[in-house]
Amino acid sequence: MPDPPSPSAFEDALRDALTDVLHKMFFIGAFADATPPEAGRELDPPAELAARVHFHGEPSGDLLLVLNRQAARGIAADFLGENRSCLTGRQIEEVFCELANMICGAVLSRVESAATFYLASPVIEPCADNPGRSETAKCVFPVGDAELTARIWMEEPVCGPLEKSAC
Amino acid sequence: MAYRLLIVDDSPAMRSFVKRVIQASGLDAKCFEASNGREALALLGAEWVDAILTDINMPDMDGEEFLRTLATDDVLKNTPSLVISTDATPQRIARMRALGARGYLSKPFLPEDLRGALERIFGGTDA
Amino acid sequence: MDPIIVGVADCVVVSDPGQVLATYALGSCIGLALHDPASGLGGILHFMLPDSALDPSRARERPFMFADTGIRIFVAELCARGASPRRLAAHAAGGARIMDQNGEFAIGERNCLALRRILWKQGILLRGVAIGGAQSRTMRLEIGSGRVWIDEAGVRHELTGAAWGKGTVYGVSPADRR
Repeated sequence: MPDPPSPSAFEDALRDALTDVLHKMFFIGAFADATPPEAGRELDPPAELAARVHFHGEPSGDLLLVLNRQAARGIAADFLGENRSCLTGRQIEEVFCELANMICGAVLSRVESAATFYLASPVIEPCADNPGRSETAKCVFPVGDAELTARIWMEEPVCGPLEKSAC
Repeated sequence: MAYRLLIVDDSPAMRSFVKRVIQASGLDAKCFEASNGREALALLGAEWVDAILTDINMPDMDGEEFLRTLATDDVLKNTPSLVISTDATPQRIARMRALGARGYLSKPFLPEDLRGALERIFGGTDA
Repeated sequence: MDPIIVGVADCVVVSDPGQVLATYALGSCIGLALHDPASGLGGILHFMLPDSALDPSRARERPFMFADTGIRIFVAELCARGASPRRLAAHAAGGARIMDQNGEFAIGERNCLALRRILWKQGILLRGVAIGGAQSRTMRLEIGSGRVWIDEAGVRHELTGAAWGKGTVYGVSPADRR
């Protein structure tokens, strides 16, 4: 039974996955934006949007994605090819959930290549905090003048590798 | 006459993205949508399609079970299918191919990659 | 017939099937060729920067300097003269890392992302690309055939859709940034 991936392996995979997903489907590069804030930023309350994806595999765990709502509106508009002002709150959340889904899948495809993993449907969380748990890996990515934060928590295996081989 | 395509994905955002690619590809297509394999099977009981584009990780009936079910139907097993999934692991790709998937596109992908996969399906080669 | 030269921060649309358009010095700039085979219309846009919000007054004077203003006007002009966005074949060249070896400004990459974002909003996908890397390019569009030719490193080659299946779109992979 192979050892679970290390935290540094998760961190590298998370950074690569974020870069790849944002570059290909959201047209975002890994650099802070020099452009001034867009008109219409008052469309959303100054709050954060958080999406969580639970995954089952070797190991299992969670990914949490957090971004402020104004920036989430911008990336949703880019993904859907629509104008920012035309989007509903529901569309923004749906795109954000899909972003979390793709990042999670891209990370796991990089670290869990020896096993099949399953992703639960992403859910919007009311709170971006995860008190009491320190993450396995974290990555912060510039999105315009905002920051997209991705965190992964790996569940502890029920038993270690030696015990697993005896089960 | 327009191609008839079935898009199976529990993410409304991804279904919108795929439809936009189909439109931008210049393909004359009518798109049907389902949010999981079970809904897709119900739709296929009432409508015929030229190709199926399916996700894997979906609630109720996932993409793997969906393709396994299609493979048991004498008519539906011949409908070309393209898998579009976040799962890029070799073992998953091999299983979906063994279940008859004509092509496999891992997320994230460039819109042009999806267009290419569709062009290969309708051109009669593996995507 | 001599080619019509499209200058920096400029755009030309023609319908003469015997005409060739050419644009030079595509370093971090991007040359975008659009061609509608049904109407016979075609053009090249040569833009320098990704976003007109950086300098709105300059964008009013020279809209083709920026990706967002330039591409919008380019597509609108083609459509006003009878082209259809869904029929447009799009090819792009440029977006290289020139005189910015540390990637500090990343103008070429920003231009590439802006190009793709704006074309996506217009409902247009790219057919052939020669973007990224570290060298300057020249682009030519044959209006009669819609064929696009690129000169780079002293070699001329035709831009086709063959690059898409290989996944090498940008020439600057995420790994290059580390």
